[in-house]
Amino acid sequence: MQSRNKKWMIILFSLPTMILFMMLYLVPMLIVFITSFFEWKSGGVFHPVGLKNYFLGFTADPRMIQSIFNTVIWTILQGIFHVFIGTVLALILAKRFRGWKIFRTIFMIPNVISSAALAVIFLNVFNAKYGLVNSFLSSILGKPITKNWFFDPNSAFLTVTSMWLLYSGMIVIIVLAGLFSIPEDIYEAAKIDGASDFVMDISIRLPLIRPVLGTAVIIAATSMLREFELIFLTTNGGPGDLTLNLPLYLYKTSLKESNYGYANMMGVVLIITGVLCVFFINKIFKMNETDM
Amino acid sequence: MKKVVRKSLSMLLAGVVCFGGLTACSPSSKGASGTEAKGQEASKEGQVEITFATSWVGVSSSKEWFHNRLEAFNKEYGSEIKVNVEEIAGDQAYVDKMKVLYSSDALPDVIAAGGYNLIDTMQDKFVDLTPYIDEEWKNSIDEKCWEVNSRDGKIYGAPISKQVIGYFYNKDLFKKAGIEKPASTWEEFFQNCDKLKAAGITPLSMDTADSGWVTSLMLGAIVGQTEEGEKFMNTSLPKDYNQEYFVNAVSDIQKMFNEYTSTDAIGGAYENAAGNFFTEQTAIIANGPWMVGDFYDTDKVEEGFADKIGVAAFPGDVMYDAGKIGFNVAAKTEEKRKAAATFVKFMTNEDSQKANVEITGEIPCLKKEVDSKVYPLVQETIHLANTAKRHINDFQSLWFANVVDEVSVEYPLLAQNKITAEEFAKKLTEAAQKNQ
Amino acid sequence: MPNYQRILLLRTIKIILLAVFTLISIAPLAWILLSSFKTNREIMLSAFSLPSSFDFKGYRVALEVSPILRFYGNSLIIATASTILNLLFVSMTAYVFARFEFKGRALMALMISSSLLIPSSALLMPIYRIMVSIHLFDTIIGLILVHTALGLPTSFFVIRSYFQSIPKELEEAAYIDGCGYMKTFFVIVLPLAKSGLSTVAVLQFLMSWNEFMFALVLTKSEKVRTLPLALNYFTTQFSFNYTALFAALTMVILPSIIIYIILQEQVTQSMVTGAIKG
Repeated sequence: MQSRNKKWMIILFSLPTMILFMMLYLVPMLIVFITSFFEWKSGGVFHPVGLKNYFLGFTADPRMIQSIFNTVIWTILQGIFHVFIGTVLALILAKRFRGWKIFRTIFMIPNVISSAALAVIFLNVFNAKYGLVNSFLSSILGKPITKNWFFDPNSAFLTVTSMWLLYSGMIVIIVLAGLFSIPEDIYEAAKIDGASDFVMDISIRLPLIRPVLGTAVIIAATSMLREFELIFLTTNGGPGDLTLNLPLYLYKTSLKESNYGYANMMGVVLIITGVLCVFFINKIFKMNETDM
Repeated sequence: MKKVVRKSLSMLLAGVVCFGGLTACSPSSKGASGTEAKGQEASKEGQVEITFATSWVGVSSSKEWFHNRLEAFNKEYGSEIKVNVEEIAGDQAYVDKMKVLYSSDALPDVIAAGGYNLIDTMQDKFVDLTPYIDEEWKNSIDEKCWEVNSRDGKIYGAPISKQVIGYFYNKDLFKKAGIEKPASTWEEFFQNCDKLKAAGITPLSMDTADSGWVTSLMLGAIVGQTEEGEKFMNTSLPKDYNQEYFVNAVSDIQKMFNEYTSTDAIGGAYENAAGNFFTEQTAIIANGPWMVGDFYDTDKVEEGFADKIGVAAFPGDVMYDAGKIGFNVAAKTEEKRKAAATFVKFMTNEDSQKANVEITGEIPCLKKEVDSKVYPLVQETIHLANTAKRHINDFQSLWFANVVDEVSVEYPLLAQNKITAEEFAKKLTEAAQKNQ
Repeated sequence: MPNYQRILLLRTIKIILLAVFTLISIAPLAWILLSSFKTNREIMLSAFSLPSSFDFKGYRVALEVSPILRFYGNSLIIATASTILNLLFVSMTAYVFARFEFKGRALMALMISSSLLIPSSALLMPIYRIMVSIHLFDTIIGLILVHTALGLPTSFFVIRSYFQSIPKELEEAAYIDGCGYMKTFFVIVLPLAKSGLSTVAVLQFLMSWNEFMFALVLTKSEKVRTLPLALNYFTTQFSFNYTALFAALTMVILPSIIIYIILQEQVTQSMVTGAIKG
């Protein structure tokens, strides 16, 4: 009885998600894959060109290479530093000192604010003329600073990065929930052994939430692979193409150049990058092993 | 708990049914538009319903005008034609949505993208208005404005206004710097800038974000000072920017960035440029007469600001003076097309245009001069355009969308001398060449 | 180094970390809030000065100019419903993915992870057509379904990982006691994963609350539209009203923070009761 039931349960439980998936994702995904082998532009241009889009993209389009490079760097930074910061903060909050809930709420605030508003804020913070950063530096150094953080080629990349690297509220709540789902009694033994908090964090807590940490890295990395609004609304990928990433280049290619086939080729590159990313993070954090 | 399960099960079933229906009709493109039209049959007997999508909402300066004219239209044609208005706030959101609707063959019956050129990308779905335009309508409007809205002899847009742009300057600040009158040559213009600078005043408002609108207007005006340049600034979708006159103009822009503008110009948007001018931190800004209303808005400027402002033609007596893309019609049935044409004709008739210039400062594109109560600065702008030596069109209407975008990412490099004027022109050319 | 010194040092570092991240997290909201009381001229003159007076003109204008009030209800319904559906659907699926081996599991997981990265510009047109063809265009239900689906991949990964970190023994005990799969899942497993579920609820709710592009494309009437669309009423290419924009932003952000706090309170609650039981 069990095994027949089990089969039904698997089908029943995955059905709603699968239907939704097929309704809303499958068709678009097929369109993206198929048309990436077409020359498809506005004005009725639509014919198959085989691998030409891919060939052009990887051999004759320095802008695409640059945007892939930027995307990869940002994804790695996000998957490591962003998650690290969030995990450290979560570990601190997990001690549940008085008022910890307030901090958990505060760290999440930037995620509540829409990208459009955040972009306006950051443009003002880093503004060359009256921005907060320059005023702060001027008062410390005692001389006027007029650095144009977003648009000076030397600082553009780092300034854009700073818009999301430090705001790890989402990671905090994901990791925190993971920490809270560990049964208390597991710690008891260690406490009796006299292990310090710090040691317990590293040697007991973190290994226990390995799958959750892996998920945090997946979420951070893939959200970076999709990020484009904040860049679009601040530097627009500039100066030149120094802060251009693949999603933004894709957006420009499809909406400004109406070169849909080529844009969908980038879409395929993005999807494959994402799948590889998820695959490797799964492997690193051994997330498919259910032997917890 | 069982209830939840049963409910979700029935929803699942509904989902399966939906999906079945979907696979049956999604490959054909007819499904979408067919069902939509069906939902709208429930109108009054003999009344034709048309849909109109507009971004004239919120703080848009055209909002008041649109409501007045729609009301007037309903008074006159309300029994025959019903206009269903869809509000889409934000110009960019408007254009983005139109693009999705276009590719799904579900455009609204009437479109007004506020000067954005949708004709070249959506021509196949737009209706040729020629059969609906009678002699009187045709003759009342400036030839130049029909031209901008036409492709291969077919008219795809009903003009509502003209693009007329000079630059505004702050007379007070000019006086402080000892400048008598606006420059008539670019050489003199730069000398004036030096004088302003010497008096401790930042001469120019400039920007680079979005399309670098204010900056690019200056660029176009410098290009347009010679006959060749004037021709270039009236060429639709140019592909080659490696021209001497263009490169020279870019060098001048580079000089302006380096010496005559505020530190927040690089990366700044129109709002920053306008803000600097409103707060009298800069003396000159290039922009059209729709800005004049703001000169009187004491929430943005100090009392009496408008009296300090003058308007001038660009050096070499160059004015932006060109047709603008107007209303487009994409209705599918003959009945709706006719109704849409009636609506569009009404919205662009003499009364409408007169109201438009009075409320928003958009310059009419009528052949005869209309007597309207407008701000003196608007009147002056019209006069300058009528007497100017050279008439040019603006880059946003003329250039490929991706070239306009390229401009905004290359300006910061140009401004910081990371690329030369030649390289800038080369980048634009490369971008333009990508369009087939 | 003596022990107490080390503890002191660790403590100082903790406090500094908390202070710094609190500051950078609160600053944006504080700036929006302050700016909503400044006049446009004050904002243009100095972006970081304090308002000269606290009047609510910006809020009045924001309510007048945009249909923000009407959009509140829609946003609330759509975000709540899509959160519930998303949680229900995804938790079921993630559970079988986390616990059972079956044919096609790897392929399905691959498909879900690939849908994480489909550019939304590629999704817009097909989804628009689908919604029109199943008569869900310009309906609340349509938007709920789409928002549910948009959050699907993220929710899937998060929930699956929580299931993976819950010890299997409890369920096995339940099965031995003769509980069916259905009952075991809803009565034993879901409550255990409550903290994970609330996390997903927060993420999904905020996503739906802030989603702009699909809300724009899939609706045409005000009775269906959501809050992010209202924010576009205050800036057009050549005219802007910053005061009203910041007032509107405040009105959009504050409720979502409150909802977030309520949802988080749920987690804490369940955690405390869980601890007592354990």
